[in-house]
Amino acid sequence: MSKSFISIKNISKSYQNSKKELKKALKDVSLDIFEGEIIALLGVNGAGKTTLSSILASLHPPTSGDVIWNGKSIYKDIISYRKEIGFCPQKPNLDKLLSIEENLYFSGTYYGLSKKEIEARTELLIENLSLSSYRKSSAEILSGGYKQRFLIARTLMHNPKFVILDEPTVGLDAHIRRQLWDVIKELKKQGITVLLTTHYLDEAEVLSDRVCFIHEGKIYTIDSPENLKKKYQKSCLEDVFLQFLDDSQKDLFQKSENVDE
Amino acid sequence: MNKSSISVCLALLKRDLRVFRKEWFGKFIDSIFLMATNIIIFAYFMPLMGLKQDYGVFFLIGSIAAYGFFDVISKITTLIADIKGDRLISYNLTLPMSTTMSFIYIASYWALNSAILTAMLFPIGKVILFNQWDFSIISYPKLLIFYPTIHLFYAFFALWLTATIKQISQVSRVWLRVVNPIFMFGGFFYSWQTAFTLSPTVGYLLLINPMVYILEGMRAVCLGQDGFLPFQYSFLALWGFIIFFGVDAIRRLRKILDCI
Repeated sequence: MSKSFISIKNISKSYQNSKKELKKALKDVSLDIFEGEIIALLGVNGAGKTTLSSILASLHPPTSGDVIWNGKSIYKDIISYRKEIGFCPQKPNLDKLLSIEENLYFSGTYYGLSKKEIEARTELLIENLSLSSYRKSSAEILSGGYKQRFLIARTLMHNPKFVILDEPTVGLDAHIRRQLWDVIKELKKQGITVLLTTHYLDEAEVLSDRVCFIHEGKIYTIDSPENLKKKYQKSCLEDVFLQFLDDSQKDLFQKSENVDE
Repeated sequence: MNKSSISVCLALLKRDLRVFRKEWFGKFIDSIFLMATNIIIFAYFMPLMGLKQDYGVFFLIGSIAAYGFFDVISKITTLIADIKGDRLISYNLTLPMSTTMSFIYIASYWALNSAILTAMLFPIGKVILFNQWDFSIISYPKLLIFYPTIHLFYAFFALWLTATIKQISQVSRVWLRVVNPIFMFGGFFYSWQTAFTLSPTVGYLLLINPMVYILEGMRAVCLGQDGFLPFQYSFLALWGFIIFFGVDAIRRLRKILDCI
């Protein structure tokens, strides 16, 4: 097994919802992410996938717990950590007034890349993500699929060691999803560690080395898709996940009955 | 302040200036229309109704000083819309810089933006007023330190208002209840001395309004010290407001955006 790249230690996250009620989005979550693997976070809407990925992207702090990287808390040197990660958010937050090329150029400058490095990376990413016909176009006119490709290109601009992809293929046509899968597989070949949050089970099955089932803010199972299929005696990850949801609902129901008693 | 944070901030400012280059001309024309119309009326029409002959210059300096204030609402609206919508700000918050610096960057860009647009009003004002405005009485060293201070104040004030407004629908209410009263009681149409003459209590009360220091300071710089609050008081008071609004805006935004 590869060495641990990032260790998530007992992370909890609570926030106040619009009704001023305290909601626990993550409950004492611990997880090791290994160097060079693709790990998928799977869960229904509201399970805590995006909360966990945004904590790892250093967008939000946890309420308690820690994230260990290079043997120390990321919060002790957040800037060095941020230089090593690339975060591709669910919402396409791109600079609409700049062209694709300009967006990538500036993205390189934020990470201190030289002009030569920026030019080389821009060419490579535009080529690899098939963005050449839009390089001079404003990011605003791109279709959903191209916006997502562009967001991935921007995420990879500074050659990060750890990439967080939050629902990268949500709402995209099947053939565009497949093209993006190839891009994600290529990241693994380059030795980049990838955290993928998705609710497409076929995507997780094809792409991930390990999948992590997250439900109501807790991690229940972490294993390879193959092992999970064997364990649950199912032929595809979708059936495994449905079985897992059934089991966890029963488990929760049982717990509430015990409390009532 | 970390070196990486500063270089990311500078890179973001360069990006914004690239965007600004694409849209500055339209904004420049807008400012010509706004300023030219107002100055012509106050410099050439209103004296015929009894206003002092030099009121045009007085009004022009006030307009230059207050120009950034007119733009506060559009800045607030843009940032609130982003926070509630596309969240381009969340990309900035994952860049290798401190969270505090990412908010300072927003204020710096807003300050730079309004400082550039307002700078263009000096020649426009001179063309309209011609020999009514004597450039030789301007204290250029004071202008050099006071001019950026004004725009920093507007930027941090806008950031603070953004952090205090919960919904975009409340922006118009803030305009009516906060921005307009601050502007009207800030001495745009009159000097602080006039308010003090009306009533010393009113004069002292107005000293809690930051616009008073902006307008009095700028007039002291461009028209000479006589008849206005001492320049150093205006300068120091304005920095006090910048620090207050800046620190509180960053604290509130950190909380709203749940940042590290």
